[in-house]
Amino acid sequence: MRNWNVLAGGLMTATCLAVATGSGAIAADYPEKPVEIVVPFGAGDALDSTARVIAERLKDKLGVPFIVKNIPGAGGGKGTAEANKAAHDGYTLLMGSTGALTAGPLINDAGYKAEDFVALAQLVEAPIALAVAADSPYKSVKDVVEAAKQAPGKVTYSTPGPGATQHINMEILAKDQGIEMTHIGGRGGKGAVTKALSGEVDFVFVGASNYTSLAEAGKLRVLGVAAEERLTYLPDAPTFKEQGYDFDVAVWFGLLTNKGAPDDVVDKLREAIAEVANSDETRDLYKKFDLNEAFLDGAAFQERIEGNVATHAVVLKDIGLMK
Amino acid sequence: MDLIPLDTLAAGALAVVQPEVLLWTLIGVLIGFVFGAAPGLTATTGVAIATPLTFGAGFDVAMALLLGIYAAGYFAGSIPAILINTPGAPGNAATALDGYRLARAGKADLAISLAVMASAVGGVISLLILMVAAPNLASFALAFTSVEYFALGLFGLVCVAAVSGGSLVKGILGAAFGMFLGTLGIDEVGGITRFTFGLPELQGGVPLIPTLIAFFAVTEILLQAGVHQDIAVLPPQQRHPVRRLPGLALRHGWLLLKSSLIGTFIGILPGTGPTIAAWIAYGQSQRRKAAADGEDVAATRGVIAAESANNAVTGGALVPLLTLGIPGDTVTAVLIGALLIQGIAPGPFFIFEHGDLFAQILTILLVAALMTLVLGLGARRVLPKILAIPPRILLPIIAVLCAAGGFAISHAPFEVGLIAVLGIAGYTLACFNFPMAPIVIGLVLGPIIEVNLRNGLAANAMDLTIFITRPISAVLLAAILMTLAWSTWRARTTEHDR
Repeated sequence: MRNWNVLAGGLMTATCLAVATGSGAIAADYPEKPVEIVVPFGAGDALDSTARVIAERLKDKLGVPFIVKNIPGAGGGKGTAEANKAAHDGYTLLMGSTGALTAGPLINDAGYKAEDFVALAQLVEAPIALAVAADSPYKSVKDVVEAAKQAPGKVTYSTPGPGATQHINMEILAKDQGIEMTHIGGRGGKGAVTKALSGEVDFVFVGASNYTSLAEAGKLRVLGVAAEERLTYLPDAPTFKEQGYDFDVAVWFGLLTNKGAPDDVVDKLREAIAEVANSDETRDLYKKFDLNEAFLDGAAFQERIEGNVATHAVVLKDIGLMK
Repeated sequence: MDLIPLDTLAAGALAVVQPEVLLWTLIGVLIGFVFGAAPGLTATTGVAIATPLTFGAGFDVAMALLLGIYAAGYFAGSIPAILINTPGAPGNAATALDGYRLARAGKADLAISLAVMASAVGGVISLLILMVAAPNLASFALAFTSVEYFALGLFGLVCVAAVSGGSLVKGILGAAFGMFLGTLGIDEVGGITRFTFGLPELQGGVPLIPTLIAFFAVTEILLQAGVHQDIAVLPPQQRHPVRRLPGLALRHGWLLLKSSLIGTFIGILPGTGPTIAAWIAYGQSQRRKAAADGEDVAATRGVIAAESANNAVTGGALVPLLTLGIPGDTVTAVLIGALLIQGIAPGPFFIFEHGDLFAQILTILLVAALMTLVLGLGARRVLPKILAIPPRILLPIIAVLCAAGGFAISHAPFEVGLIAVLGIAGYTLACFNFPMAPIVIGLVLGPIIEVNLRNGLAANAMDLTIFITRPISAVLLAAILMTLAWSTWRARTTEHDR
């Protein structure tokens, strides 16, 4: 019996040693084993598609499998919290997006903060746009704003859910215009579109790619695109800027890893991701998924995240969602 | 709106009736069997994992693989539901109630045969509806706002009465407990967390699959472990010849049709799915309880209703996907990505511009339904042999499967722990004769009822009358009142007769 204990003890010590030396990886050896990419949304989501496109390319580039692990729930909060628990060794990456990363931890005790992660690269952006059902009386953004001025709280709109980037940014616009509107969560982008089509809400504010075929068929009218320029797939839809509203917002997706990962590992990842993200193959796949390529390097992405957290904190306090 | 020309349909259908496509449909069906039957894995996971494999494939092959998984996956969960009281997917939970009872009585063969037959009928009826009426039904999907979803949720809750076993009070208490579990996590209206006890893992709420595993499988394992092994000998399994199936199908023809229609229409509604469809159809099937009906007939009706309804969701859920680009359930949500990769944006133009591809989808679904039927009937003789394994060996294996299923959901140990905790809770409740089904129904419908009540009021300036001034909601609420009044009256008269 005693011998077994000694043996077991020895084995455990050996394992611990192996783990300890393993985690002290240096860039020359990295990656020595498969890397996980945590996607905090379900399979089939736009965020998931982006992750899978990149994972396949990273595997070819770095020679180890990059495994996409979907942990959906709580608007991205559950998976992000799970990623935050992983070892800080660069073997767990997070496919982060606006909202879950920048607003979630401000609203709830989410089990992570934006500062817990270090940015590797922003990959794509999804422009957001405002649309109404074909039979809606509103013909322009101004009509909507005027209606909301006339009857505060009477104009209703849907986004994927409370605390989502779309929701927060619409509240920013409302604050700028001095208006008050009622928000209804749509349980996801498509659900929010359905609410506008069925006439339950006056307008929907979600990713513009959701509207393409419905706008072509004349079932939806896109009144304002919150981007610098008109979109190639919605050429008839005017931007907010054209109508005199300074409103340029987008949902971004990008890769991060746990803060505390060795610097040289972070550098190596940043370099590899930059190379695969800027290849023609990757761009082709993005296009098929209606994803807008918007590469930002680690430093620029980090800055953007911090900027978003600061603006979101102000709005969330205003609408009473700040914890 | 016009249908697609028949020659386009025929050409599309012929295009997929070729060995390569049929082979991929078969592969899809086989994968669907595995994902559907394994607790913790669902047809949705199967389709999601298989989607990247189709990036390089043509439209026909890609759809063959994915729709094969879809059609078989919704059925296959009924096999473990019937044999070991462990629904392979949430949509098959209602099947477990009566299917497992039949299996314990030595009629597993009959139960699986019924499930296979009902699934095939449900799948085909929903396909026919998709084929002839998809464009017209798109407006049905849009007739439902939060107000109507609230009424539908409430309507579904009425079926708690059908699954309460002996005591309606315990059934209602169970449903209330399930609805309470449904309030955990981030509130979908307000955006803040409720009752998470500081656990970030609970932010997403109590997930349905671990709850099902806990209240059905784990509870049953613990109950059986408490039974003295020598007494727990099951009666020998009886054979049920296939030739008797058509007769059974005819005798329950109306039920098959009604449940398939319920499944199809619930499939059309975005944000619902096979779970709700199966429970509502099951509840409807149990309303008629003629004195002449034996236990077996009631159980037969239960299995037929649940399985035809959950498979009918497939055709229904494709209606909003192919006419509006809005998915009707979680599998069709994943299918959007697969279609985009093929260069096709599902939306109002799909059926008119791609009539041939639409025909291919219909044909593949039909072929997949037939393959599922043949494979399912083939498997029904072999699989019940599982019941011959002594419980002391079988029960620990199921327990391990349950834990693995829990882990598969988010690759974290939290769900495994959750299954253990809820399983013990389920066992404790079962010891006090609480039925398990109402708890699950409460968890499924609770959030739908709550969120839509609050959203419906918020969108209509807090006007309560909206629930009776909108026609669909008014009809549903009236149906609830009538059902309740009728069953109260019937309960009184039967008591009086005695």
